[in-house]
Amino acid sequence: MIREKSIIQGNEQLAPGFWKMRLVAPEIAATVKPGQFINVKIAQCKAPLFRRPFTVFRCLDLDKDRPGIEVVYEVVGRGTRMMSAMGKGDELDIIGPLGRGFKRRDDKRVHILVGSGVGLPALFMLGEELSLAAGRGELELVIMLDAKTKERLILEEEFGSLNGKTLVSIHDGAYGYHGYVTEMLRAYIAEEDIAADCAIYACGPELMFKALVPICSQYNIPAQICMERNMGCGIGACLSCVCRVDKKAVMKHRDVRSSHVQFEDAGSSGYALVCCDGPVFNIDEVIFDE
Amino acid sequence: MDNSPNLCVQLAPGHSAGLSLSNPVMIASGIFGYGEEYAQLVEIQKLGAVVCKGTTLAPRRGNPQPRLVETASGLLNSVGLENIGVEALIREEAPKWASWQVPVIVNVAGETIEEYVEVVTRLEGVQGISGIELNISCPNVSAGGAEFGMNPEIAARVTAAVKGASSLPLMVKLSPNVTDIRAIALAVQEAGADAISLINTLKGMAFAVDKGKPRLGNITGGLSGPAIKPVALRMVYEVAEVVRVPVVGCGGIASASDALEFIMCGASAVQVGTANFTDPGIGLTIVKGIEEFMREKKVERLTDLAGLAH
Repeated sequence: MIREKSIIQGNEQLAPGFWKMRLVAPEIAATVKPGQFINVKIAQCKAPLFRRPFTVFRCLDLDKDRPGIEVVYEVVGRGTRMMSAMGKGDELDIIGPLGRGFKRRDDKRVHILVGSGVGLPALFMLGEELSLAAGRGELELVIMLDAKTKERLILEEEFGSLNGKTLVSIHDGAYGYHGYVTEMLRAYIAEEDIAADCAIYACGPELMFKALVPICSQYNIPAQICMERNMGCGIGACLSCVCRVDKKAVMKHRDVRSSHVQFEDAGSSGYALVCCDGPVFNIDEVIFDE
Repeated sequence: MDNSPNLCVQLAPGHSAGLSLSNPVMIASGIFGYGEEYAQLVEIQKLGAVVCKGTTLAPRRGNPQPRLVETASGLLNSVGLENIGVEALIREEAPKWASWQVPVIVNVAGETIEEYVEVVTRLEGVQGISGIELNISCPNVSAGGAEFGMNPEIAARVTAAVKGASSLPLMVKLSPNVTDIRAIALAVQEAGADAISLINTLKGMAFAVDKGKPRLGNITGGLSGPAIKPVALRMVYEVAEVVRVPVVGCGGIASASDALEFIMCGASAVQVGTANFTDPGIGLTIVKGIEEFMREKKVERLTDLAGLAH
């Protein structure tokens, strides 16, 4: 974890409401792993008060071989609106890399990325890694991109450049598969008969995760999901960004002693911190109905 | 002659061991967890003191989410005293503190007087702990919590009980959600408090119009951050006027100038909370700012600034 004064190299609109910011961040770029995030202080004054967390979209070499990172964000409130007004040369105070990212399931042959809306960027670094392995013939990569409308579909070209099969679902049927990505996924798994040998990595709204649950349990497919929460500190101190987790599943997947998951003496569930036990969780760990 | 100003403060002059700080800037409870989370980003050993997360007898998993809402220059939270429990604190956290230079103060919470007493009894003789902060003001738990801080008699009873069970310096953290905070302050002082810290969060609420429901899982929460500073300052001023034990000011402090306001209004030291989330280095920035102010104004000892307003 490093705190960097980062200079903005570029800030461009990708689609209505979606922006991509490029930052000089050599130290973070050197260590960030797929699924990890940075916490950005946007305002110099006290409004908005908190930092805003963004998953790192990708790392890249900027001019003069300076390592940088990119984040892709949606303008949803005051903080992101202020961000979208910033430009080249402006300075940002960022902390990162933070959180526990994706863990590649090397025991599986088919790796499926399932992303929707502003959840897509969180999957790209993992996609790049898997793409390299797919290029060497070690695995198969399938990428499912989802958006409400065609106008809101982002990063199709970037994901399309990876060594994998790219499928698109648009809810109103204007383009690609007509419907939700989870329906497309269910049909794909059945058609290709890959249930026994695949792993899913997903990022999107919580409703999408909830729709993934029955698919994963029906076919017994392991899935990792990248969760989103409002955060206070982003580093495990304020205990605000919790998600409810199942004790049995947590005990199965992780070393509870080195996690921040808090259980009570009696009880089958507890709270994990999205900022440092996550943002990536195994889907069976998370209890969605709270 | 060394002309660097003296920032030392003694927070428990009436206690045999005392509670001596190298500077007046402490990190408030619930901000730095158990101290370690921020150690990678901040030279925490240079702080005046660190107050750890509110600790209860048994582990608590805390309140349902969402637990946090950002408000106008403020933070509304309802964590609900999620903590690892006193045994895990003694086993896993205190041994690290034993080698630290910065004093660690354990914030103790409970649902009954017996629970408070049991927690401090278990902390007796544990290395690495410099003092107790008695939390009689958490607004986010249904039993105990703030109830102890709302009535002078009950506040005095829990303070006396803990004082009788603990040999550590005892600071009592007061709730602002009361009619007359001076009566509570006087009551805990008479019951044996070595110092008084204030304020804890103000009880508040936020509502999501689009969803038609409260924004916090716990419905209500505690408000902190710059938004509450004027309220905190007024209460510190009022309390410092009537008590003789040291007062520790807390509530919305985000700069050296904020801290100096509290000190001039009667605080011997300050706690910085919410501001750390935005700027983890803010505690040390404030220490430096106070030092610069003293140099500029030719103030030799911090205590010379104390209570200028009175």
